[in-house]
Amino acid sequence: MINLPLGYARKIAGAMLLSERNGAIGADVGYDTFSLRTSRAMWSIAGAKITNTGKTADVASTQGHHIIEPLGFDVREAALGKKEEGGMIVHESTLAAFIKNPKAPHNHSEKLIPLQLFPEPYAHAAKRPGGPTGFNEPHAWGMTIDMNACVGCSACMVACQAENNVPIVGKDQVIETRSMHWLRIDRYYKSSGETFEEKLSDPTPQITYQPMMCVNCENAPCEQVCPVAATVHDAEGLNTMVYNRCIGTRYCANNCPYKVRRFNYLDFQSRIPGEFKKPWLGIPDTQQEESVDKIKSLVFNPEVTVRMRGIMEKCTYCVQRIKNVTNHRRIEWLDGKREKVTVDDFDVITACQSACPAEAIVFGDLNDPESLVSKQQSGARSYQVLQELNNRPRTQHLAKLRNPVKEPGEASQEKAGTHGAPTA
Amino acid sequence: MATIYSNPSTTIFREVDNTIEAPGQRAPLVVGGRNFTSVTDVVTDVNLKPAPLGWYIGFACAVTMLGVYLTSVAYLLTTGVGVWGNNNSVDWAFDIINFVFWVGIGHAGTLISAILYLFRQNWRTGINRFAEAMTIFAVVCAGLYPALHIGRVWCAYWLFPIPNQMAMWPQTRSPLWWDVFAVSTYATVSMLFWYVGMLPDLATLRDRTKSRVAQVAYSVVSLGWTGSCRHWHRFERAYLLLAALATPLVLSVHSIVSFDFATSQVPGWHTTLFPPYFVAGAIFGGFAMVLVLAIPAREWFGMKDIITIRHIDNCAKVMLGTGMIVSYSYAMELFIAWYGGNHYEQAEFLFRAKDGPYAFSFWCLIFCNAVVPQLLWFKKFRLNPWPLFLIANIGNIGMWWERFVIIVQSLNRTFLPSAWRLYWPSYVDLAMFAGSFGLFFTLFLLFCRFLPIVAMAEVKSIMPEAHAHHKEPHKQTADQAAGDFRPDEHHKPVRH
Amino acid sequence: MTTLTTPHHGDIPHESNTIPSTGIDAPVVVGLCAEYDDVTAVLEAAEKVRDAGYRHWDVYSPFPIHGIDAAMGIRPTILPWLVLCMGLTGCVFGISMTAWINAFAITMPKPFDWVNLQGYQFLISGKPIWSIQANIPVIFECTVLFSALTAVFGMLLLNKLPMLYNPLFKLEMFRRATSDRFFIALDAGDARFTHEGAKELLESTGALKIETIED
Repeated sequence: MINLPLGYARKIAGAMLLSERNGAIGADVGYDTFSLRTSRAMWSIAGAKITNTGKTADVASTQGHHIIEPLGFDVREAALGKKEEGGMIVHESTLAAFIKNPKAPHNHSEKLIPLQLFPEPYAHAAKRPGGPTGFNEPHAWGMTIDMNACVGCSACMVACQAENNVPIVGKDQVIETRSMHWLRIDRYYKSSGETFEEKLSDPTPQITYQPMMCVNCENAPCEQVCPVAATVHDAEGLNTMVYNRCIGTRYCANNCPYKVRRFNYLDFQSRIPGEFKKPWLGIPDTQQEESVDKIKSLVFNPEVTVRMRGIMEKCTYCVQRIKNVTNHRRIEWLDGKREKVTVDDFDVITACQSACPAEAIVFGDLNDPESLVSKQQSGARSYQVLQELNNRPRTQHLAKLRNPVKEPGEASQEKAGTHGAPTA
Repeated sequence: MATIYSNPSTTIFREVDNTIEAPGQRAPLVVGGRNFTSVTDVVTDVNLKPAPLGWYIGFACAVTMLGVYLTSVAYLLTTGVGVWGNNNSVDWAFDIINFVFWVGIGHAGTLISAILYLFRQNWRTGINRFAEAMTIFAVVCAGLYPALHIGRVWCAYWLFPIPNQMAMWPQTRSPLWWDVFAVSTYATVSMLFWYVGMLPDLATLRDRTKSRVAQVAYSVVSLGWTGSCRHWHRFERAYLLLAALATPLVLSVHSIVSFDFATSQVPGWHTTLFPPYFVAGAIFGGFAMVLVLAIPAREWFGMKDIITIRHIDNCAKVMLGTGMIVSYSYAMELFIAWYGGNHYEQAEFLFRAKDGPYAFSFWCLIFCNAVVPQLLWFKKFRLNPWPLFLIANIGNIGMWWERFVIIVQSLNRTFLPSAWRLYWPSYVDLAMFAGSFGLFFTLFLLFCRFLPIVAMAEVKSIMPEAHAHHKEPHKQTADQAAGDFRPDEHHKPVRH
Repeated sequence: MTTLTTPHHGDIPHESNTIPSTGIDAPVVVGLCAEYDDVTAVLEAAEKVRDAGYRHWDVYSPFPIHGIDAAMGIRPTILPWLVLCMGLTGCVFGISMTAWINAFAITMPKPFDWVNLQGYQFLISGKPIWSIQANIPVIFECTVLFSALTAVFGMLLLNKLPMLYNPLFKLEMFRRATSDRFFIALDAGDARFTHEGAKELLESTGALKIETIED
């Protein structure tokens, strides 16, 4: 039996309607399978014959390259854990195990050792006279991502792309693994069985979605390696990226354990996806001004820098949205219209958060103990991915709980709680 | 076997193996009956006689490759780093591999000129000049890579602490910034060392050339050197000081290059073993390159009396010793990965040696750097220049694979399996790498043509007749001094 | 041996380096140069010249001769002390540069407020603003760079190089000074220099050839 997806092909689409030059991106993608569909047999064809055309096609995928192969399988299993158990990166457990022991999802992660080369790093920095305004003042931004709630729909990715002017790189660059999404949804598959072949033939593999973007580490490994201080911490705990300071050594991306930094290998905004890597003979800084389509440039979010080639970019918790809100609140506070200078919970909503249909992403002020993000981060399911590196990420993930259907006769776990797990 | 002419006038030849260690006697480092005059002749002839056809052919090839290099660089600069194969997981690849490869090669020259000078290893004089030249040209090739690998090359000057009204400064915690200082200081000091050592020899060329243009040119670059002993006094002191400064410098440079990796937290990079391991690897690769250049040069330029088989033998021994240190390092990396108990580190080394997509490169490197150099235990391989030439080339190839293993293998599989990516070089990567050899050999062939390739003054100073203890009634000639070396008659008292 | 065109100039003992000129084109004797082909000979000759009390004279050789410093009575150079001082300067420079660019925040008083002494005071990876550990490599490199530059340029300066013009270069035989011969040159500016006396002294040392240096 062969399954064919419907609706993933386009003959003509996207910007072609506006401009012929930039039309390539949506046109002629995928394979049209509607021609196989007749009104008599809407969903299946019996007795169809398959012939080998001898042609090959490149398959572009933003991840999953050589996942279906035995190499490194043991390593992945340690990272992800066995079915219904947590691993080092993906923390999960069954609901029953979680109720018995709230630490069950984290059993397989390495113990956090609070060993610090430089004790109390920010306390020292904050008290320094003449320096930045201090640390965690007035806000301390943080985020949680609930892996239990995430359905893997990718709406957050699209929202992020639209909000932050993330370039579209085209199929050829995806094949070269240079996709630019700041936010990606990592999918991890687990199956039971002892050998690799057995695992492959498991009819009911389990899937975990782990949305991953810059987690804004407090001890960010990317910052110390930048020779020009193009990525630094701000006073509110954001790991900021200064685009016009970046010279593109790419050292930060190497040292990022989450691999969430994205480098503009070409001038993706002014390049027509799929075309030959054309030299630009003018002054590099004028490339976008002169070659980006004027209509396309209307699509850009005016509050976000459009990055040129040769610089690094990454998620900054939608810093433009944060600044918009905090500036207004500060003015209101100065005018005496507000009690406090800090924002209320849900005043700042990141693009990914606003798009998430499952409310899996929560952003807010960790200084405010009443904010949802504070409550979630102090909850039992919350953990830091790769916490053993002591990077102290500001984004924490909430462990996944499963409530598997058991054989008849076993006690149902439904009455143990609702679908959502307790957060505090 | 070096031929020692016991007396050129009577054409009696005696073959003496100057690689034999004879207690109480110093093996001659200049053979073939050379005296001061003929040492000058043989070295300056390379510069003053018309170049052989082979030089023109080689130069044409090198310049063609240089053209390939410049074309790739132009394409890179106008288009972006995307013309290479690097991707969002393997952000460094051929660029930094080749940087470390060339910087490593650039270590032998200063090692020979500085460390061996401090240790009074007189055999260095035969090879130090062109080894230093090799160092400088290798550092040029190396230094271009990090400069070109950054995304916005036109902003590269931001790496330097230039006072400016916007108070834009570099960030001093970055190992890349340490690199800027280490590599530029190393390039500067190597250049000074090379040039200062060359001053007396440039004066020799000035005094021997018949061409007016060359006379003026060599006059200017030799700064009016006369060979005054008052000058020699300060010169020697300056040279000694430079050697003493360059010794820690040469060790620091590759240590700092290794900090690029060792201070990061990428599994496979994050290890304290790196500084000594890198330095030993650099010396291994550097001496391999010295042999690759010295073996043909002594044949083609008729330098066999000055770059004797003993020099070749010594280089091979250094290669063997440092090869053993790097082999130990490979073993120790694996051991520590297992013993340290870090899951990611263990996984990294499993991929490296067993499961990974690039496991072949690890075994390439083991074969080239750990297995093949074992042949150098046998004197037969050390004394036969052409098999040794092959071994040295294999050593160079192995050192390139070592950097490939460290950089690409570590980056392609880091912490999160979702970010595992393969890397393959693009044709621009390959063209630039091949082209960088064009740059290197263009510079090197120009050096061979226009500058003294052997440190004549230093070679003369280690010849027996440079010392004033021969007070026989008839003056002893160099031929006789060299002829004194009779290792087969060890236990006879040394004649003075 | 070339003939002396103005032998009488050599006979005049000069108190200083100012040599009376007889005309624009007339060569002036500035010294006497003797050639040797052997290290031992030139060493012994140098000892004799030293013992004769000459001060403005020199030995020229294609390579540094072991023991010539003692034979000529050359005192140790101050170069190592210069290098030490500049090395320490480089060290201090490295420390202050890294401290300035990453840790200082000095606001200059009014007339000098155009001087910008602001450094980067950023929060980087939870690390201290300035620490010795992070800056040792750069401080070390600065020390070495300053020292090495001093060693080279100090040597050239003390040797008064570059000096492209030298009357010695007019002697045909002196071309071998950088190849295989050794020379002793006595400067006419020396208080003891007389043409005859100097020639006698050099002849007594077994010189192969003695020529007059003219300028």
